[in-house]
Amino acid sequence: MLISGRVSSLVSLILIAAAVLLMIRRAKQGKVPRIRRLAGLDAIDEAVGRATEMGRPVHYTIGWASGGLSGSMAAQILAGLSVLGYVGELAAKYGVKVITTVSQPDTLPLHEEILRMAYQKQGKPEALAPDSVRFISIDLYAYSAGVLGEIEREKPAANIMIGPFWMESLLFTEAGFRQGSIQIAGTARTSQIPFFVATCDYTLIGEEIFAAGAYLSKEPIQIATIAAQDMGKLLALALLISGLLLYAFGNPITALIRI
Amino acid sequence: MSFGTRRTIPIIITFLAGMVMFTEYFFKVPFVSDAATMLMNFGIVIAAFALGLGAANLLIIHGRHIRKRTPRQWYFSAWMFIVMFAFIIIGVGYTVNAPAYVWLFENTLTPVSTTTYSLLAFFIASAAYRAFRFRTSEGALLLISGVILMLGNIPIVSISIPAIADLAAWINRVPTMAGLRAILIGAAVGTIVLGIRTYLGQEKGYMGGE
Repeated sequence: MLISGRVSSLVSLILIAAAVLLMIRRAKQGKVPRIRRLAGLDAIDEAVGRATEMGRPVHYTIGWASGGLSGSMAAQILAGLSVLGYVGELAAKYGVKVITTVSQPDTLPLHEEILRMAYQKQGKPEALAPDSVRFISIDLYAYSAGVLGEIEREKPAANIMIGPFWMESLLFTEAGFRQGSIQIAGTARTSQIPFFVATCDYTLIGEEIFAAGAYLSKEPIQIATIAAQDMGKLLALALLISGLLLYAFGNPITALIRI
Repeated sequence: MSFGTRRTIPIIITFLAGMVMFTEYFFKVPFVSDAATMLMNFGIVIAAFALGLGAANLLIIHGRHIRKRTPRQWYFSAWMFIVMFAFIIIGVGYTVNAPAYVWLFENTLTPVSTTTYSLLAFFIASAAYRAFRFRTSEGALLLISGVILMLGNIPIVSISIPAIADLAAWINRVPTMAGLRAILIGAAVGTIVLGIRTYLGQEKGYMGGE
């Protein structure tokens, strides 16, 4: 039995899932869609390269979220972790130290595993510093203060922050600015996006962080799902316009849309 | 365990757990609801265990700093040990509701947390100083709207020139809200696609890539 009030959500989900499957099928047939470039993600190579030249580490954090992987910010946490693997691979390739600061304990093993795998893929498992993954605190303020201290002491040449962020967003980017770090940040939390836009060199806004893992993987199938994401946005836009028109003309069909 | 198996098993578990949560959200099926509750309880238990891992990570990293007398670090690490064990001993020995623990909490953690939060005031000022520069058309737009919003929030200005307060309210209500909703819709679609990609086993970044 379907739960009332969730029918339209289910229909939207099915349509987007269908778009994803369609695009994956097309990608398997060799029809890989072209997607726009994301400057923030392209800049990761430049940031890690800069850290190599300066002989300073790369700092990476996915921010703070109550509930961790069981909470409502889980998708953003996964998006942030997807980029960590890429950063770890670059760091391993160029021989740069990567420092990740962690606030959600349930993501700690994931951080360690992702970096371990990244270094292993580059054939340098021994190069991963044992203190690369640093758990700071589950408390937002303690985590913020801890990361501020890490940035002050380690002086990273690159500060990459992708995930759910709260008030700590501005604290970290300002600390990074003081150290002269190149800063790449991304979040889908609308209250923090302005801080990132104002203080970072590159910013990933909203949906871009969810596409990051697929974009960086450069796998045709994953790239195809980004195109499906755009189809989902077109669907939302179509619904928005049709709803607007129906509402403007007082059409009773609007009552049906509320199911 | 082989490389492939190490990937396949988490993908299968993720898919099954995802399907349970999906069914529980959209359909009324009693045994699925029970399964979903059980899964969420698993999550809570795993998170609690992970907190132990976090504590172990802290002890290892800061213990190393103290042993090696890392410059500009080891005394902070030592202080962290003292505070951490003070909280653990008093919390476990007298419970977290005991006056000693409450006193410790209210007189150390609370003021330090408030201080950390208050840093934002200074950081916002310095960030705004850098961001509000009349260099590009976007920068100019940011500067003008920022100034209007700031003026609109000053009581004496909003009382003496109500038009500025109205304009500030309009900026918040119309262009800002339109932009925020566009970002929210994009993020919602992005979340759904990321979820589908994860359930299909296509999203491998969080498992360390290929």
